Amino acid sequence: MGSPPNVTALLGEWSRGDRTALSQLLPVVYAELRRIATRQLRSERADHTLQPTALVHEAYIRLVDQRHVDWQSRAHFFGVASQVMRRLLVDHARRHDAVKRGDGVRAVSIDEASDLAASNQIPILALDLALDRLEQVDAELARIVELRAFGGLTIEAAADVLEVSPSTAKRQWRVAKAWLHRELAAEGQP
Amino acid sequence: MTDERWPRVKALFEAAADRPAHERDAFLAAETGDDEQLRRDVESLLASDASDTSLLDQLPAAHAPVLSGLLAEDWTAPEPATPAAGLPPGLRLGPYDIVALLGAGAMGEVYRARDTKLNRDVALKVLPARFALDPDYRARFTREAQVLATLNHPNIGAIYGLEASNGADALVLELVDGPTLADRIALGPLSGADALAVAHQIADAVEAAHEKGIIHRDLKPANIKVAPDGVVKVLDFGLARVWDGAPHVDLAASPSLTASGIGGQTLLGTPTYMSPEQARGQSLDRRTDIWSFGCVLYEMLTGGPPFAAETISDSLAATLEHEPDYSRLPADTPAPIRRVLRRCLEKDRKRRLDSAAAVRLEIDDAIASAEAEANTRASTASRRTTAGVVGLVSALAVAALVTWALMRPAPAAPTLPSRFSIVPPPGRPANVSGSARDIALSPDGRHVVYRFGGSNTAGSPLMVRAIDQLEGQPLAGVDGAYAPFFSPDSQWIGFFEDGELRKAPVGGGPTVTLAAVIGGPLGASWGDDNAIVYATDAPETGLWRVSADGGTPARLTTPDVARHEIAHAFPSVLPGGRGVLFTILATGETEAPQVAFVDVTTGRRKTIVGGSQAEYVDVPRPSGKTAGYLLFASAGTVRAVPFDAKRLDLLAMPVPIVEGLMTKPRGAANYAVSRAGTLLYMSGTADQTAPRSLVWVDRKGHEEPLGAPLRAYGTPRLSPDGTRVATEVYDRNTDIWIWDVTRQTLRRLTFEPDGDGMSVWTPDGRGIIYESGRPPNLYRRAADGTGTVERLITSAMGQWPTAITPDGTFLAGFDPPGLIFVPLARDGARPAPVADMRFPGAFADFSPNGRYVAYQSSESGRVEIYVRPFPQVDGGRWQVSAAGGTRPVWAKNGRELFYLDASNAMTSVPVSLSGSTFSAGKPATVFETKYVQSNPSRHYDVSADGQRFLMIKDAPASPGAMPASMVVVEHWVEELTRRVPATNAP
Repeated sequence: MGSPPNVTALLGEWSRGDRTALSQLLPVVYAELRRIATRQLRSERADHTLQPTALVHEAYIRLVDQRHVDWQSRAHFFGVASQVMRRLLVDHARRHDAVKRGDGVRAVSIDEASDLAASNQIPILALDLALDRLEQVDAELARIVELRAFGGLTIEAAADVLEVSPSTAKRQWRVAKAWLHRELAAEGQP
Repeated sequence: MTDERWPRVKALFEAAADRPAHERDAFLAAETGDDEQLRRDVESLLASDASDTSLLDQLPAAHAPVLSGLLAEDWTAPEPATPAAGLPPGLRLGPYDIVALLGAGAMGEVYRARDTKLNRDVALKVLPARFALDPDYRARFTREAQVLATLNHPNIGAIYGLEASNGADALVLELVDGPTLADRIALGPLSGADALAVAHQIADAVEAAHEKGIIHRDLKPANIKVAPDGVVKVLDFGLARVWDGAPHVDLAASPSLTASGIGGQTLLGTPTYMSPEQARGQSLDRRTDIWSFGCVLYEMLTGGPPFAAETISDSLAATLEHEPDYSRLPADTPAPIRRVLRRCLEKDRKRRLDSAAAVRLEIDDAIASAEAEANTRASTASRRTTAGVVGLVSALAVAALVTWALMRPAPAAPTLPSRFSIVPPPGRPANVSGSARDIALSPDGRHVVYRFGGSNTAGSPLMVRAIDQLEGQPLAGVDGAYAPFFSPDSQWIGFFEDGELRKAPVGGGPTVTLAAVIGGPLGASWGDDNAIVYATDAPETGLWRVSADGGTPARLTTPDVARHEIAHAFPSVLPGGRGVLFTILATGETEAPQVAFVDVTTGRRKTIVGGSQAEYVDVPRPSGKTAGYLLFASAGTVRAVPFDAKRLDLLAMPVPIVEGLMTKPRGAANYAVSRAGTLLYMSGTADQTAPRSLVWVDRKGHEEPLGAPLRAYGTPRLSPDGTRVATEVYDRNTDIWIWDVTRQTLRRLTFEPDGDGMSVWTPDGRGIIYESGRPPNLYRRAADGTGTVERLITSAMGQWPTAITPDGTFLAGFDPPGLIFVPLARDGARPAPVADMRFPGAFADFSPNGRYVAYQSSESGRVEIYVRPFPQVDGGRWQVSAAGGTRPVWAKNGRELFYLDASNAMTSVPVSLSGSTFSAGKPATVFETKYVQSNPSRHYDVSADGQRFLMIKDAPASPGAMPASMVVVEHWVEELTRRVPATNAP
């Protein structure tokens, strides 16, 4: 399998405290996510939206040697992938904000997309900033938000990654949502 | 707030949130005391919690399309090559084109292949690679194969030769279709007439081989084919010996060719049919085949082998020590046949019949004496019964054995298969979203469950229909279900819903949660041991097992990543619950799914056959016995094959029993079987490669086919003169084909391995511009296929073309996330999108005068159609659609703009292009939606006169069938056996 051999090792280094590993991991994971996304778009072409969670899962399977990865590294991988998703969306929103076309932070590439997001849009940039603040207050909560909201993981999958029970994850998610919602409301955002 | 306060705030919030609202104030007051700030902090969080925070839950779904675009817009590294498992169809070995995998047996994989020289189909038995590594063995093998190739007899499956090319060695064998004698016996004992007819031919074959000094050594019902015309073919003559001496024979992988060391010797053969001298590991002569012949004849007459036992050692012991139980023979078995049997099954080979010729003579005697008896009995009855056995063998045998048939109890009339359809009522269509099976059939065959209505992303309600009722009832309280399945007692329906595995009583009642599951549903099965085995697409996990009363799931299998396995899916628990059939899904488009088995207690796995969604059923037979069948899906068909569930052996070549089956891209197949042998399947289409037709639709909605063959068409584009259609055809790759409207021919135009599509005609009608490669870049080539392919753009970002200005100067394209406009250079300059002409949108089309561009955009929050001036794209913007619109196309007269409205109905808007202003009238529906439309393409075009629309229509799976309707087939087993006239006579 043509997977970059260093991802498993990088995950290990990162979980052992080497923060520079993350900067090496992000581009690899990013490239793989793109590769998978492109292949899926090309091969299926159907009524078809890529599900971030499926992308992340496939990237994980392709990149990580699962016989030599511990649970902590696994959690980190999903964290990295969720961060990639977050950065993509935030960068996209920034670019779009700068262009200032139309009336908002929205540039959905293909039609049906906007049906979902249309009337009740989460302000990505504001959310990003609020999430940074939440990280200072409670890093655990910020991680579950990243996994859920950007990585697309279900409560159960996030619990699995964070090694907490689903009920704990559910509770954390509820607190995090209440906190973020309050934070965004304070800025006049929905 | 400070960090020190937060843990306390959080704890109080969680505690308060768990309490009823009216208790919270008192609780907070008591807990916070004087700390006003703390109380306000918690209260504000509670207030926030009470408001709608669901947006955050929806975020991934809402942004999935954006992410799709962002992720797909770049391509930096080539796809790693993944080796294919087995030999792919289309591969050529010498003059042989691989057509399909027929089965994987003891001696390697067997493929159907086309002999391109002699123009006939053959079977290729591919030798395991390790055989090629031992030169001595290989040389011996080659010599033996040459000897075997000299065997030429109508009752022997011929060996044509040995082919060594393309890195693989294969034996080239005569392809014999039809079931094996083992399949036939699995349905019950043969009549005396049939048994002798078959035995006579086997003896003939063995005699011919013995004359050449070739001993079979592994004669058994599974090695004997009975062709539809009644002709018997004995297969694999001498191969047991050829394979003998192989460096290793994997015991687990070779259940029918068993090697075990006894006294330092290697044993080859099948224990049940092994002669005593073979069991002892002694040297063999032709009398070993005589013994095995006796075993086969005994089994034909009684339905079971004479020396059957649970284990190999018991079987060997029985062969060496016990006498066959002759009392199992039908009471009316004639004496000559009993004598033949005893003389074949002599343990001391010196006392055994010593030649096949002698055996054949004995059988002829038996037939003759039966005939003599028949002549003395009522000859008037013979005409009546002859029909049942016509075409068996010689007239002699027929005449003789009619009598025997007469003396036996009258058989029941054959049961005819019956079919009836279940068509979901209008307004409640079947739902086939997701990657799992959408239908279920109760084990008692009395209830059908299917998914209906609902959404494509969040599951659906379930419809429960009793077979004997005309209408179904939705299962109460269920609205987001996937992958329904039944309990063994047919009383419960299990399903996935909201990230949980649940069950509900068939008649309705409270839903019970069994377990939380991670990942998207890939099927579940409820075993006799009251455990449910289920599968999801969560990474790193294969099958899980959980009690049907709920509990903690336990891992049953883990995909082997080193072998490219990405998921284990579609479990089906075998009777008794000890083993599970499942499907291995592998990464990469070339790796086909495989049906495999896992033993629940030992975890031992075995791959059985290429295909997906396997089911096993023990079908009750009129004889009172049962016959085991493995069913699996492959290429839109359900195939059935007699199956030994203990040894996990296919007992014959799989035979298609249902075609036009709805299958899904990941291998889920919409069929189900009951224990009574009823089969339920869904026809219709769920995937992109399903056949479609190209049709003209006029403004009144009248359809007229173009006459093009059924293919998976997409993005059809009329040439400017209307004489040709450039269209995508989806198969393994997407390519562009040209349908010639006047000549009525379909010709493939592009051949790129990465796929090509999204074509646009150049204004002169001589060329097309299309996207190809990874990332999809723009290419141009002549529409008649001549000349070379010209790459217009080389960029890391992919783009798709959608239109060209009438003067050919600009091309409009989609480059996620927005529109691009590319000047088509005429003087050698490389084309590149103009930077300041980008804006959000998709599906641009130019007005006939080239001065306006219509496109769609979601800038208002809903996708609408807009028009801008061109090329001054910032010089204005007019909204054309009123309530949503996608995929605009200009009428060639410039006075009309067409698009699809929010419900995909064809819509027309009158427009005016006079002078420098644009104005649009009121949209009106032309015809309603019933044609294919899907992202990321526009699957329609408009004729030059604006009066006809070129649409793509899903072809019904079979003539007259409704899409996504279900068919219940009863007695399909009888249908299967009917294809074998020789063994079908009662």
